[in-house]
Amino acid sequence: MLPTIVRMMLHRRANVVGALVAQTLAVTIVFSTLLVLLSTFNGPGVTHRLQAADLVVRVDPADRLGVASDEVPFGIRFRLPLTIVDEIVDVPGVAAVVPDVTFFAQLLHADGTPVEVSEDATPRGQGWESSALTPFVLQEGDPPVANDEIVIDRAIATASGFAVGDEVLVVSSVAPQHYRISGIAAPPDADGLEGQASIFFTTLEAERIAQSDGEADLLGIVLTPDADCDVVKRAIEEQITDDTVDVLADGARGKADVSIDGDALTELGVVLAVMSGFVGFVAIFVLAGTFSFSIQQRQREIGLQRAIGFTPWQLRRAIATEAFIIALLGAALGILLGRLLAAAFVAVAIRIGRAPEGFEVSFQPLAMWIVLGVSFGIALLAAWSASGRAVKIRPIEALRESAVQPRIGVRRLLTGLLFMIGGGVSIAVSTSVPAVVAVSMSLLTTTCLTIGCALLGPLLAAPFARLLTQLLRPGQRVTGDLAATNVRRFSARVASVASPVLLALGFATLMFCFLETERVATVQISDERLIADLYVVPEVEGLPPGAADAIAAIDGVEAVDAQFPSSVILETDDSRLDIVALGVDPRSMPQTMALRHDGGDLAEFGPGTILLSDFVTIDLPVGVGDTADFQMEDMRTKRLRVAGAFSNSLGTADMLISRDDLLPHLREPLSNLLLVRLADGAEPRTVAAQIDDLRTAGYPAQVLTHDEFVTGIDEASTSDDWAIFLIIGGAAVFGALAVVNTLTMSTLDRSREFALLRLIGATPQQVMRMLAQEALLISALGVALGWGIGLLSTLSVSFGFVGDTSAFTVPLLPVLAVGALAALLVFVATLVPGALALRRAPMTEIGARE
Amino acid sequence: MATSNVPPATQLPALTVTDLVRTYGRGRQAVQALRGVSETFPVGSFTAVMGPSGSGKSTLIQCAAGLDRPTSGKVLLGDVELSRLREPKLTKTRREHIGFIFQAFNLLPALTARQNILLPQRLAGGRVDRAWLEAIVEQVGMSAHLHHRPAELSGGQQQRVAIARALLPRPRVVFADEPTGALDTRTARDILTLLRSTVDSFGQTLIMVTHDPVAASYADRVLFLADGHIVDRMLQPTADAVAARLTRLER
Repeated sequence: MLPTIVRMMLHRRANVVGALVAQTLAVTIVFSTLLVLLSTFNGPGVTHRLQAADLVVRVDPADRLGVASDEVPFGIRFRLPLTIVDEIVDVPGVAAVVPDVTFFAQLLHADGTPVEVSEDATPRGQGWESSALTPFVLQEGDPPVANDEIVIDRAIATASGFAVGDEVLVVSSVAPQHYRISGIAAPPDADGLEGQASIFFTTLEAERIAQSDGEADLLGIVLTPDADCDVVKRAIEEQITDDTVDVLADGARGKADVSIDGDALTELGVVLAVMSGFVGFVAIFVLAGTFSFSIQQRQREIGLQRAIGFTPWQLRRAIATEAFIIALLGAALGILLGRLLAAAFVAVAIRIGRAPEGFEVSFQPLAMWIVLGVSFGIALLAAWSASGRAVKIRPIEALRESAVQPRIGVRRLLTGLLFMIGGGVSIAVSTSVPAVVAVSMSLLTTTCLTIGCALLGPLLAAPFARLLTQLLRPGQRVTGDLAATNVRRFSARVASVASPVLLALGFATLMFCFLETERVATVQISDERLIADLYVVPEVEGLPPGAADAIAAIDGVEAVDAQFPSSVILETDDSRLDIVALGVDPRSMPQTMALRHDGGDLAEFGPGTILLSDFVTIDLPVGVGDTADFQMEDMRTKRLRVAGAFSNSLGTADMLISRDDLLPHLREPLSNLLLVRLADGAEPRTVAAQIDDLRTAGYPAQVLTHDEFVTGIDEASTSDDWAIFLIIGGAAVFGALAVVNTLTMSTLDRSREFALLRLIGATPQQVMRMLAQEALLISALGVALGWGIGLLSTLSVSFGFVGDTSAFTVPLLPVLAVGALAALLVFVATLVPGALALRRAPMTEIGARE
Repeated sequence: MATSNVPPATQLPALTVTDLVRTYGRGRQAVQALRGVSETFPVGSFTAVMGPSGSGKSTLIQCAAGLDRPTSGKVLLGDVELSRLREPKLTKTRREHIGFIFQAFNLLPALTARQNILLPQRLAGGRVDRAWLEAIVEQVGMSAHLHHRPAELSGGQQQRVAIARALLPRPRVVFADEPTGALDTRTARDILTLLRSTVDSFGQTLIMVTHDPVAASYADRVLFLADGHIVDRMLQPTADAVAARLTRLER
């Protein structure tokens, strides 16, 4: 049986190749996504900074918190007590144990502007001993000895023009300070680290700034040249009594580095997780569609097989076998290609700073099993359900020389209607549910409507074609009528082709409109919420608490509120919830932000109480009036009472907490925005100028008016956009490939029909014109539906953010461009195979069977 | 209604082929399907072309109908030298002056019978002579089925539609390639009778390739081909005579 099946498959090449291509694409994309995702669990790889440290000792946050490693919240790190150094310094093979702390520290030019090495280089300070970990080698001058001496790296020296002996102002999370440059250092083969602009202080001074007395972020261990890394690692592990402390080697070392943005890795992981799910859905959708389409195309062959004696059951098994073969080949090819794609993806991600520099893709058996399982599962499932109707057909019907389109089953109709109704309900419901739920419903709406339109496609195609040909009255009457008739009569085929178009376009439209609507909503709400007169935006990572005091001392300033961002955790019985929090001054806050009341008493906000946004009161089991224990950044808990709730939090944090409650828990208290309220009669420009002057004192910042600041929000590139682009972009690309694939299959299959047209007198140009008009009808259908779905789903988004449709915005250029691109794709994918099919001699074509 | 579009007897033949040679491939693998065929087909004649497989009969028809270009030789359709024409002039000439009926897969599945019949004319952009259309449709006996699609018609009915389509442009020559090959004897007889009637009533010139002696007996004369040559001609053929001659050819 098997050789026969294979021979039949080889004969029906185009059809099989089409299904194979779809399968391979699906596996490639899903596999590469999973591969990168699972690789992120290995850790960020080794960073340049710690390259000289053969082993790294650190506290494993997961162990310390008692949770699984993927449940550790962003940015949580624990320090090691320096007593551990004594425990391990005598282990044979250990040449040196280097305690390491890093913290924000940045140089200022003489005029108060911050020294920037490059966009990727984060300004960081460390103790001089940490230089051994890279290693940094002194090129000029001496190491820092007095506490007011520093060593800078060559990159900073070049960027700033400072030299050994110069006095410079350094800003950090403590009060700005002057230092003398005692030396310039660099790693052996560069001017500095790629991701970091390094300043080295004395050990004592580093301790002071980092507030790390008796502690370190990690210990870097340098081994003697003859030491065996594994042996020493085990020996050290035995010596350490605390079992929440890890010893890391090789690629895992990067997990310990607090100086790199390890959060990028976690963020990448989250994005990839969402992406796998989403792309997986699209892949399944397209695969199922392609399989059922290819079976549609084989109606006549199936009839013949029935006629020569296959029972329906035997035929289904044969089709399933074929699907199995295709799944096997597709999976094998897809895994190979997916591996390449994953490597390329990581390379790009590292270049644009979205993944840590040492990150590598490693072989993940789990990814392979998942992909194989899904690949076979989908192929068999799709082939099975599609063949169900096909094999029950009476042989003689299918054998007729004229092709027959089976009627659309009632089940398919009902299911399609159900999904459409679901989509409609989703939109309706989103108008009256809490904000954050409405936003996620937009995705649900798109999914429901997409599936519904795909199922009901054949029904929609026919009247649509009629309508469009009425409207357009093409100049080419004959070819236009032919095209319209083809579309009407073979509406199932049209629907199969239009579905990937509307899928890709629907989600792409939603993506663009979502981002734009969110931006508009954020600006709208921020505009309404912010009522301060001046907005002080730091030009460095943040300003220490002293900045607010300095501003308050200026004549004409009535109130200053410095905002300190942080995150707190609320632990409930079944989960840990991350909340974005903002430390503010309860007395001056009301003069700078107008909160929309949503429960409780906002005036009660003060030390010991917090305000929550409506976005979180939905999720949290605590409400207004409740008291709960919140875990702060340093993992100490604080008992706080919810005094009230507010509903215009878009653009700011979900929790407002008193500064006095928050600051003691922040290792590096840095404010990222200061809001200033002026006294009556004060001249804004004068005060602004004076605030700007403070940069020479060590507080470099930009001073903006209300309108300037709000405009700035509008223009700021939301860095989260990349994640959405990636996720939906991946699905859209896949949809585009599916369109090309299906159309090519379908067009090549019609070569007999084209031959007949040629023989009864159509010129090749006339056949192409007919195809072009068919492409027009198909793309019009797909694009119209795709846009419609995307736009309707965006309504939920607007409701989610502002409670009505006022934020609903459509960025015309991207949406139109994407629609035009989809239409272009349909045209190319129809006309190119059409031209190829027309090259064959008509007489041979007409005589040829299948 | 019997209209004759036969002009006076001194007119040109409907089709003339002169020294037609058709070679496929090159060098040692070359196959000579036609080795120099010359023949005249007068207006209003019904010619059957027969021969064993490999004799070149299909190739002859294809070259004569402008569907294939001969390696050398001339094809004259009336006064138009078909062999010299290039696309798109060739296709345009074909659809105005040549009708073709295949053995099977004649009709576009998406169109109704009426739409199928009108299609070549519409492709040419000409106006439809309604009276002529009615006449033909009645002649082929499909007046009641004009709005059916091919899937709803029997094999014989589909061939009738194909014949109507071939006749509508009033072509100079109609070619038929085994038109009754897929039909049962009774339906085949009906179709052959119909074809005969188009020649008698409308003066249509018809050239039919067939392997069936009974079908050949409906024609005015039979051309016998073997190995790319015309080896014999038979006037007023009967089924028995044709069968006997064929057997001698195959020996």
